[in-house]
Amino acid sequence: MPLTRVQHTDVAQGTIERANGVARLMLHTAGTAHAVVVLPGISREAAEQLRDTIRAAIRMETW
Amino acid sequence: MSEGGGPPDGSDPDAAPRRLHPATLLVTLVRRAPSSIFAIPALLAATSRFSVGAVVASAAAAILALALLSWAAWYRFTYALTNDAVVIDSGVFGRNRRTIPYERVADVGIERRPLQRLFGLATVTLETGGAGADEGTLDSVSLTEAERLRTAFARRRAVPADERGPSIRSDAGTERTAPIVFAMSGRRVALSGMFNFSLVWIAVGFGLPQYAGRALDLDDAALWDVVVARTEAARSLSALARAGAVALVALLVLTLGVAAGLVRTTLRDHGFRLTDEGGRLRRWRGLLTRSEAFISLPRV
Repeated sequence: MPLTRVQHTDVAQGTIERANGVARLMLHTAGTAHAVVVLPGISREAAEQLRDTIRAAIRMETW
Repeated sequence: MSEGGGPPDGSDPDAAPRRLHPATLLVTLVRRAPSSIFAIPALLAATSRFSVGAVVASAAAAILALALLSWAAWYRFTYALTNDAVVIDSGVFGRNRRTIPYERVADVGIERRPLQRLFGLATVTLETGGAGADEGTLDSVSLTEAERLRTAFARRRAVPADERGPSIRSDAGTERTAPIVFAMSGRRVALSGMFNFSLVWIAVGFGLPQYAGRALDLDDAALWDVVVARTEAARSLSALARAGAVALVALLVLTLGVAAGLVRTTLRDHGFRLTDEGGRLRRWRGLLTRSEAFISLPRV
């Protein structure tokens, strides 16, 4: 999935995930079909690092 | 566990996380109240064996739990404008942190429903051009806060994208001075409403007799007996009179359908106005629910 297609990101944790210190990174893309890519079971730091990397890549391109 | 995430810039007042307006709780309560009526029969059925005191106590406990949950959800919902994105934290048991970069926020929609207008609140929708339901929604913030957010977004969006130029300054000013591209007068709205014929009334016209019988404590057979008895009397009338009666009913349904369509369209489109905001159009509409949305011209 191309980085530039990412609209916004979610870092989510359910109760069990919180207990174990893992998180879910969800990448939302433009469009209606298969609009969310979920990366489950990564640590919170890794999720946030990924998210920051993606943000940096998005900043290169504007509307 | 640290709630760190993206470090907000402390010197920028925008970056501090904010909560929704407290009156949101009231609005949510009023909105949910009608549906909670359905819980009453269930509650009564479940506790019919117990004393009145136990029923009241359990109902009070349920209401308290619901109120606590609503308050917790309100408490946990925060939004903050960081350097390059808006961060929305939410969730009581499961936490969710949504990060929407400014570049991805296509427009900021403001919608005010009648109950919100009573409290001076508005629902802010951050449209990303993604799959509709996934964007950021702030329900509800005060109107001044909504306007502030709009200018904040416009400011942050305008900085990297130089091609847009110094377009949106103070939105309060441009609201009045921006050239109107298209506006619907009352007559036009009414005309449009008349063409939006509502078929609901045909369904009501046929469905009502069915339920009227039950409501009047007659069973279906008794109701039809009454109708047939009346029509027996009517059979003595000429065929023309009967045709006239049927035509009258049809006319009634038609009128109701047109009226319903008219009302619905007027409620939705009253004061429809498109203003040119330098590269994008702003659309206003609504009688009870005032809504503003942007349409970016390159995206049309």
